[in-house]
Amino acid sequence: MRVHRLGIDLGLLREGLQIGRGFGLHSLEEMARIALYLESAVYDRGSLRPIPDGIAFALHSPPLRMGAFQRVSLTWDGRLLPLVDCTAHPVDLPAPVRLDTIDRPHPLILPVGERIEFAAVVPPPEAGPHTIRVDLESVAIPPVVWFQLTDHLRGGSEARD
Amino acid sequence: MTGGVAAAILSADGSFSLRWDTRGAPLEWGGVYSQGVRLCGPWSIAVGSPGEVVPLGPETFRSLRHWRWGVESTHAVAGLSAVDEVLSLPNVPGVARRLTVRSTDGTAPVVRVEAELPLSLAPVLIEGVSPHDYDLTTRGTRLQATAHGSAFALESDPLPTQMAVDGTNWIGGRRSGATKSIRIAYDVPLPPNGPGVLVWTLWGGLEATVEGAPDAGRQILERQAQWQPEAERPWQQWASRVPRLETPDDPGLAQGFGLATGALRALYADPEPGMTGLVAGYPWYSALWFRDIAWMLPAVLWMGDVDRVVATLATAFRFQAPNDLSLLGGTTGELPMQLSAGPIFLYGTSDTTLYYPGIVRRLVRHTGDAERVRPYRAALADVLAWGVDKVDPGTGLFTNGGEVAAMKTASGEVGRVHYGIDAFDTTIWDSADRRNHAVDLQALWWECLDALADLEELSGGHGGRDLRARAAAGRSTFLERYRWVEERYLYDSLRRDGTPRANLRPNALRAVELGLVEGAAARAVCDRAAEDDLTTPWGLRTLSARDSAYDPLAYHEGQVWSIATAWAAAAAFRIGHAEAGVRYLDVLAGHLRTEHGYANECYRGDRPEPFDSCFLLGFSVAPFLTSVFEGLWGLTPMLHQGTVRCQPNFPASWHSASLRGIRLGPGSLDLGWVPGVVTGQWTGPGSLTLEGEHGSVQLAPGVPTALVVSRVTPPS
Repeated sequence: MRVHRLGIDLGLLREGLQIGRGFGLHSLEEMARIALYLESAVYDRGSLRPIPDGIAFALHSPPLRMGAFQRVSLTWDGRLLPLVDCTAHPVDLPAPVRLDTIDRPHPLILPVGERIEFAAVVPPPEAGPHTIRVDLESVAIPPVVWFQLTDHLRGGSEARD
Repeated sequence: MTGGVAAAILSADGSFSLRWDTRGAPLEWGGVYSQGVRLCGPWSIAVGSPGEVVPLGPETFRSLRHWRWGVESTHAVAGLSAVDEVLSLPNVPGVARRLTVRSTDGTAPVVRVEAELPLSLAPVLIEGVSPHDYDLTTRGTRLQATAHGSAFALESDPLPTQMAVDGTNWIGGRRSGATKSIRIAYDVPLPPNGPGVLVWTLWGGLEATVEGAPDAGRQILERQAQWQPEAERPWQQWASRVPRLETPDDPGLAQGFGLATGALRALYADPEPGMTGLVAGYPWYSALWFRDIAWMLPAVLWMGDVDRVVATLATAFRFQAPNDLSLLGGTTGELPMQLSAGPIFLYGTSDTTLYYPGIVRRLVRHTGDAERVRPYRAALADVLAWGVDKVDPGTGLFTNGGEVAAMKTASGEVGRVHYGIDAFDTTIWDSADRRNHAVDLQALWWECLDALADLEELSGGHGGRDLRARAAAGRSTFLERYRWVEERYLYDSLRRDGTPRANLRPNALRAVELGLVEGAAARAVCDRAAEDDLTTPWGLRTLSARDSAYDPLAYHEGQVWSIATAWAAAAAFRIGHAEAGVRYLDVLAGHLRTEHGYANECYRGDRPEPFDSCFLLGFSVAPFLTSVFEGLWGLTPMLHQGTVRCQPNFPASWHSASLRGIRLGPGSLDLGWVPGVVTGQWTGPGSLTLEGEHGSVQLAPGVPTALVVSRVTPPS
């Protein structure tokens, strides 16, 4: 695993050098800037937290696609969660929307740059790193857009005990 | 409103507002766009007295004048009249704005103006994502906002009286954190016998651009008397030398042509020094997309803008991948799909690279200068190697698909967050699964080989014969495998195992347009495409309504696309079906007229309403223009041979048409048509041969000369 990881990192380094050599170091800086932007502009880092019966986290913006979504799902540590157990709450709506109520006639609207709070019922989570994936299906463009993050859950079951 | 470096999106009441259906929901797009960055959201103004300001908008609106380069709206507020001008700045990445206020009752010595400026600074290449934390600074007369390397500067005269950030007063200095909007108040004196004037400039894009020009804003403000003439001049100069079409039997077509030329010009963009092209469209594709540019460049050549084509090609080839760059989705020799100032660029399409040999060939044919090939020889060889690498050695068919997956794998272990779009494929309909050998990709590869062969021979190389043999073998396989007998059409794609994807899409028309399919088979394809499951009165669907996957709202699985309609026109002209060709052009011209000089990207498949569509897309404008020149007039410039081929396709019911001011090589060509005769007049050094189907004539400079052409027999 370590060797594999090292291989990936060295591969990245090589690609970075190639971009720098082919297009100038400035282009490499710009690519890094955009990568950092993508890393920080969507997920509200540190927002993953325990709530009664589950977890909550927030996005600052929808990822890579905007507009109306006819299906939204959450995956928690590799387990696809039942839609009925998950909610999304765009900041401009008065109340959270349960993901099982979203469909084509009743899509979830996610404007650019608007905060979205997600919540899900999960067994009492351990403190530490967890991986969440959000899958979004636009009403207009079929391919699913997904966003995956890993963050430390602060104040998980260990902390609460 | 565009100025070549920046653009602004406003509504018909003069406000920076456009609530536009986007991916199925109405979203707000008003604002200023520059260097691939949306600088701000709806930049609104309210006028009145302190505590009693009235927003300028539908309630105060009185009149509007607008041009491609500026917007002027007049408003009435109790006791005041206001003129709000927004103007493009031809050489600065931003806009100028001037508010002129008069007291209508002579009572107010000072008017309060409050401007609301929602922050954005979102790079347009990254859909859906916008910064949330900003750095705000005031320095001298400048207010600057910065986020993730993007920035704008706002300067005004007079200076602000008061500022507030998200409703909280701010005295200036430096402020960082989550921010939505800045509100800025000004007290503008009203002289007894004249107006009060408040001027702004808002400009930016990259942070380095803003930081590198500390005096730019002040200099712009000092030149305010020149704003209007400087904004207008480039457009006037350009419009005075654009070809002019007259079609007395179909005046709507000529009107659409005129509007389309302006729409195309509105997309010209030079995001930063050394980076030239055309943005794909507005509101959400305002960056350089080289597939889209490939569709636009033929029309740019017909507009006579050779320098822009040359500079755009230089930009494209500058970013040709020198080796595999899997993080960016690129493989050796590939041309970029997306490019924005910075530079920021991405590869990962199956088709973009294939268009460019044909563009270089067009450049040579239009200019007559075979030396134009020389700078691109090595790059074209890399294009060929890139293409050959994607050809299935067993079948000779060009392969598409999997490009996105490769990028996903490469980026899979980088960073703490990951994004992705589960697209299988990256053809022009990149949300549809058209793996592995899409029909239009075969036509494009065939054209690519043909162009490379011509260019090889023009530059004195010896590889032309091999390239033609390769093209001929590919064509033979194509004709054998893509014929869809039951539908008298062409399969949309073949899977790797050879089984067909029996979906009826307009893409097959590309094989007719490019001449890969000819004769009765070509006529059958055009006739089948014209049936009402694919063709609607407002254009061609991306997928037959009889297909089980048809969805009138799906981007590439049923919506009507203007570019597909242009393919139908080009294919119809290719087989000499003038009436059908003009009918399709009329559909596009109708869109341009009813959409006030814009042309939507796409429409619903079940009714003629734009849906999830950029209101202006180069795709929707340029192929229409190209088809007028190459389809309706049947023009093929071969200036390197001193010849222009002319085989017009006018409907039998028409009596006359003209096309004037076609800039070709060192001269200009005027053409007039009446049934059976084209009269050409050439103004250039030396003579030009005008070559028709039945013979040719020499056009001596300044001497009108008649060429006999086919007289169309009216259909029985």
